[in-house]
Amino acid sequence: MYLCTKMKKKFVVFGLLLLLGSQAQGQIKSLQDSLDAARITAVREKMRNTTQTGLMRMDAKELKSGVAVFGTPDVIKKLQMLPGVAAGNELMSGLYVHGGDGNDNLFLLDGIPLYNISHFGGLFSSFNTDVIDNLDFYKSGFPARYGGRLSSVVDVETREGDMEKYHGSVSLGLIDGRLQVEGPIIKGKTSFNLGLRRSWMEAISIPAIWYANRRNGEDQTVGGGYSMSDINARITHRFSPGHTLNACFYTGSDNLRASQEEKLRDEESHSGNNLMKIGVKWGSLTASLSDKYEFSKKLRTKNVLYYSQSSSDTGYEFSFWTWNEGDRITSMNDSDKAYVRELGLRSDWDWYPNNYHHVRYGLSAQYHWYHSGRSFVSSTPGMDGEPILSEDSEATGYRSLEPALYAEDEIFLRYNLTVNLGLRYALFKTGSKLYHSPEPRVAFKWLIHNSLSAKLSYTRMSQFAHLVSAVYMDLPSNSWMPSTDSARPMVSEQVAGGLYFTPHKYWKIHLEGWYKTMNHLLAYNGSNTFTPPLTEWEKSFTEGRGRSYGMELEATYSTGKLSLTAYYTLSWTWRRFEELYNDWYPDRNDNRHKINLVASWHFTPNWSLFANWNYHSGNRITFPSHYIMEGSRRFLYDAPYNTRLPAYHRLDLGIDFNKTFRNGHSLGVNLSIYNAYNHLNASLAFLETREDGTFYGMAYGLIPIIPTITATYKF
Amino acid sequence: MVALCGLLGMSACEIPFEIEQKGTSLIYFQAIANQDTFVVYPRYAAAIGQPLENDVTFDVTLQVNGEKIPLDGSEKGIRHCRYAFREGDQVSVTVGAEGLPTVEGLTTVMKKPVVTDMSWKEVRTHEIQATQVTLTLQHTPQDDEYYAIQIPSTSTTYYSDGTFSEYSYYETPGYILSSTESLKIDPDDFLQLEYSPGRILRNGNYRPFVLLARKHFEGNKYSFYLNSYDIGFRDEQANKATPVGAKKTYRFHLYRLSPEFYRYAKALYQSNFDFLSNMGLTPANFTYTNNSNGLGFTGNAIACNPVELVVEKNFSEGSVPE
Repeated sequence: MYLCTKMKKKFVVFGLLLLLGSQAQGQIKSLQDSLDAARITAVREKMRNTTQTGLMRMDAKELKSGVAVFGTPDVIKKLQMLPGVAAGNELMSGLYVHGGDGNDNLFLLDGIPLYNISHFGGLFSSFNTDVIDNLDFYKSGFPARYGGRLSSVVDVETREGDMEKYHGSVSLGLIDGRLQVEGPIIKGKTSFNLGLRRSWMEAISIPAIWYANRRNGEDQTVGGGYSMSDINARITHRFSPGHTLNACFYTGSDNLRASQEEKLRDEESHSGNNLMKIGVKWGSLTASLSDKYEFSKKLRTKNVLYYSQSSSDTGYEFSFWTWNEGDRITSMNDSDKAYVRELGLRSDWDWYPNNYHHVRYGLSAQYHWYHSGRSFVSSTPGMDGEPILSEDSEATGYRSLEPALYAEDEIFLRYNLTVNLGLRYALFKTGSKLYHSPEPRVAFKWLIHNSLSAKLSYTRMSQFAHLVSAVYMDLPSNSWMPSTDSARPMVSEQVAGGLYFTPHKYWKIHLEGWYKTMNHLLAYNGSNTFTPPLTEWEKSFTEGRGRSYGMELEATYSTGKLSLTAYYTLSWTWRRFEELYNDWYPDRNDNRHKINLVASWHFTPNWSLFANWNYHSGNRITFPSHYIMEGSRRFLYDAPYNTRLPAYHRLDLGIDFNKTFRNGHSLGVNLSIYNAYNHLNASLAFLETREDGTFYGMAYGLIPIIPTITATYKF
Repeated sequence: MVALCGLLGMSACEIPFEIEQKGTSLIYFQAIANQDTFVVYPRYAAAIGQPLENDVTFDVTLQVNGEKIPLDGSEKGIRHCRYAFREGDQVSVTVGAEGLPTVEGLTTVMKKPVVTDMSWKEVRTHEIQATQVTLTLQHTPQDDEYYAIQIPSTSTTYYSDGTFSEYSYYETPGYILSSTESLKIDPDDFLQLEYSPGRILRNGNYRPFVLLARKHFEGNKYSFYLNSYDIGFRDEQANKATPVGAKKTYRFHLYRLSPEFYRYAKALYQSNFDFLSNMGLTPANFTYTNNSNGLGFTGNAIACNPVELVVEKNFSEGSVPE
């Protein structure tokens, strides 16, 4: 305990010194500084001069730099640090934006929706930062071209391959390795960009299993392993400077398996075996063809045809010998399969009719297949010795069509006043049920001063897809289902506004507030299980409402070499589900305060230091509120999520070293320390009773300090 | 993965923390109308961190369709009355006590369910010896209809000397017949509590009461299994005469529940058995109340006319007669 406290103090002092040192070093000017500062200033100018609220934009450099948990830079973990976003369970890929439910974020990879964005139960996201060009993250003020989810849009664009020369990189992290290659297919006209990522945990698990089997002898065999992989590919062909064709492909998969076989023999030389096998596979696949064409400087279009799929396949096999009944064997076989498939087409147009209007319009249509099925076969001996076969299966399947039209016009009313008027109109048809959703989008910007602007936006969003999940975890047993007769589309309305201040070229201060309502939300109200029912799944959910409001502050000092950012969020998130409780109650992720301090310091061309400090009020849990005597003491509960867990805080540190060789190749080494002062944050909690009869909470922290090292060779 | 889980497990540490309980003590009550009785069970619910008050006098008022109905019983415990409730009756309950907020609950009496037919058959394997029963309702349950079933039974064993022994208890429908069968049964089938008219408890050991939603019905039929191993094996007069036959009489009480009864019962069940929610890993859905300013619930459970099934067994023939 003493050592722990001492270590914490040391890391805090180190962190402070790092920040102070960074500040001092930031005064040094250099050419690189100026260039970086110019780029950053340009981005800030753009942000200040559009009507867009709630947008965070990150480029590849920003996404790849910093602390890499398990040696893999992770897009979702970067987004979790931003204001207005709650992360949910530690280390998982939860993204609860402005009081959202985590299943209401639109993830787009090259414009294609992704339904499953995580590996290993949420430990890693599916986005390979080696191939990403940029990312736009919208929390409010959603442009009319986006729709289909309530709370956020994460629009990730992969990079076009280099048209002139071949190059790439190889990286090896704590649990995965990555390879990225790009270059011309036809020089100056066609290029490719390929990214591969695969875990290499089998390198440890296979020898470990071999050793275990050798020790167990012939009578018992165990097997198993876990692997995950991603493949991103992009081929770009330029017909002319204004005409480009892109073919994009992504597949990501996880594979978990475990088995145990036990050989049995009795005194009468009967033999048999006990067998247990479990296999779980899940993943995503997307493919698209997009055509960008510029008719003139005033009109351009992008047309995309795509296919997206997310699927899971879980199975187990279990059989055992029944010694007393001769040769009879009881066996069970269970298989769960689920998928959602989407075939889509979208056409987007950009038109600048004059200096006062920027018009965007377009249409999209998606055809969805939703399927979730479970089959069970068992064989058990009957009275006459003949096996009795028992087969049981259930499946739910839907097909749906979702066309949408949109138009928006950014109108420059005066030199300092801009308005964006937009409307999206979506239809959704499942079976005989037809829903329609008009979604107005309005945004204003008032340029108060050259360095200060004020913005206000209103958006309405609807969501026709529901995640059927019984737990707060990203499991393969979760499946997507469409809105049906009894599960209505979810709808949100959000007003957001803020002040955007750039007092100096190195400084940026943003203050935003939001108020958001959500209707027809679904909450799981079924049994204690990891696998929610498939047939009549709506019966296991109850409909309710949500609301969230708060403010976010972002202050950044950035010179290019040195960057210091402070994010603060003050927010409230509420839910109301009449079947669960007859009043408003706080949401599980109602983190009242959230502070993130992010520092990066590129103190020489070869060395960079990174530090993030994360703090937020604890997540909420439902604890008993009252008790009565019924023979023994019996606990009662008033509102859900009536207790807050201890506050969460964590420091992450990272250091990058890059060495460029004479041949232009380079070697980069990243050392990251997650949870540097080893503060174990509460993951689970129970109510405990003291000897004097009073109560207290007992939380359990699980995630310790995690140091990782990653080496990257660029060629 | 195993290594990672092991690492996390080894590194887990306990973090005690004070809980933010600003609540005040409240009145808790269960108020249940059956077809011919009404029972209210009030209790002093102490807020966590506060001492329990045992000596509390409750002022209970019952109104049916606006008319005040007198109640019997103790001012410090259960209050009850006989009343012939009819479909659509508006039942209002108010419970007050000195120093505590007055609590009010409302419920609308459900329609009495009608069972038009009952059929049964034996199911036998080397592991399973069960009676499969199907009840047919007069109408098909809709999405917002909730039911429950309770089955008191009497097992009688006849002996060679002309004597007999009798044993009465409650059956558990949807009994887990074998490890194989259990996997086929929806977990919701086990939403089982204990119910005696006017009171619902967490543990379903003595008077099992199984909650049924619309999905448990196929059209207007509900099927369930009963364990029939023990027909004739309840020998309380052991070491006397030889058993020669047995009879088992089941009485099926199918209840129509008001939505608030079902929701409260489900929440009560989950608060006890939902270990994932108790750890904060899944939604914690055990907070339902429809009582204003207090805890507990006001609801109704209207039973059908009991349906009886008699199964007889003659040991000399070694089979169960049809």
